[in-house]
Amino acid sequence: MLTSAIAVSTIGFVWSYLWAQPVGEVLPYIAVGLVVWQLIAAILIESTTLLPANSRYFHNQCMPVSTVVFALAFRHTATFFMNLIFPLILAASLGLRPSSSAFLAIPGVLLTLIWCLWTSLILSILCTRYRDIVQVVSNVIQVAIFITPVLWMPEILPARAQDWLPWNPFAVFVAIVRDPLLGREVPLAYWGSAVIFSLGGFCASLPFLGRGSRRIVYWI
Amino acid sequence: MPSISLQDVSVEFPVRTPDAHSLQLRLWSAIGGRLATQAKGVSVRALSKINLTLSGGDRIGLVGNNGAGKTTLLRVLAGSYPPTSGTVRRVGRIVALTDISLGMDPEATGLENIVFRLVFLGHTFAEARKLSPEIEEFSELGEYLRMPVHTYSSGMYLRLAFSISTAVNSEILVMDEMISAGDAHFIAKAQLRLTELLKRVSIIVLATHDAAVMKGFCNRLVWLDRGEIRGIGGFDEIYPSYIAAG
Repeated sequence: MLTSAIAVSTIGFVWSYLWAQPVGEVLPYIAVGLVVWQLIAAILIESTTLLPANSRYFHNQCMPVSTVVFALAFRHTATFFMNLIFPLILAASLGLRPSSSAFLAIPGVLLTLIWCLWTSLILSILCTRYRDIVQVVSNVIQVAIFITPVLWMPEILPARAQDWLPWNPFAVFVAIVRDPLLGREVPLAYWGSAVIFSLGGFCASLPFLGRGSRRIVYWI
Repeated sequence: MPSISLQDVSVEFPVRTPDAHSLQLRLWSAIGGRLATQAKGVSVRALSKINLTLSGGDRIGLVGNNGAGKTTLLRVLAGSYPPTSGTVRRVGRIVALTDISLGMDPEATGLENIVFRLVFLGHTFAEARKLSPEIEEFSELGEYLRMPVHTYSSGMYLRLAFSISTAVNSEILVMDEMISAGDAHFIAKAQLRLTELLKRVSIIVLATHDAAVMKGFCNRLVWLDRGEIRGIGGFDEIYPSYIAAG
């Protein structure tokens, strides 16, 4: 929580000056956004090495791959709620008061977790089979933070470019958690994308949840 | 009635070279690049056409040299390895004690670990909490149970793992060597507890190199050699030829 507090406040200050925007508005925006970003990025990055790291379990006990994926998501979700405390205090001290729409962050977190679950399940299997994808994933995530409105606000983009944002899952999931908490409005297209990305993908990943992925034990 | 039957079970491990682990190279070869000439992956046949039927009362000793496939066979029986070909039919609750500290977390306290480990052995959280006091008492770890497990000596850690694992309730048990733990005083207690556990269980499969265990405990020996069964029978029948074969 302390490391996250230091990171979000320094980055928040510097970027609010860079964008020449009021600190009171930019600082909580970046602080909450970064914490959500960290949740997603941490789960996805750790999932790439998850199965070899837990090989002991798979060799000695008959269990589905999803067990360790759930454990991974659970651990990072707990950290996320801890990390969220400081940005919320920060927002409150800068005069932001929660509105009734803040409750929309709850379905926001749920959809985000569902997306993280199936994506990390697939990534963990894929990265176990093809070890060079591990680097690809960490590169993609490094690049993704630049094309995702975390350190900048979507309003600075031209309207035409803003229309593309719902295609970026990172932008969608960061927004549906962060924006309700800060009283910012979430466009309906974001919710649509979030439902498609999370529930659609979840259904597609169902074959990997159970016994379908049993042979993976021979790869680790 | 618990039983396991293996029919023509084979297990092949793909041996993946770094090349085989690369998606990039895979794509290159798919579009006919120059790298397409790389060799196909090798695989190790760990078990080959195993036929084995186990039923109630069986005390099976798996014997064989290192690399004969004993551990692989144990894992196939326990269900963690799906056979590459052939079928496994399993009736009854099975527990593998091939790693008796599986599911324990060094950061958690002894008490928490008792629950974690029991859940890993297939109990619900409610059952685990009910079984817990007996294990606490048997382990004789007293106040240490309230401390994180990483503060334990390795002997104490093993003693806790042993105490929990022997509280398991299953119909079929799979073990890699007889489990044991503790100092001179504890080991006698441990032996007694293990004997009680082994009496409760209907089928036991044990990989062992200990002739005394084979003779005293097992009622049937299965001799594995390079992934194949060389012989099944009593101690007097199998052991001499196993030793003679070297």
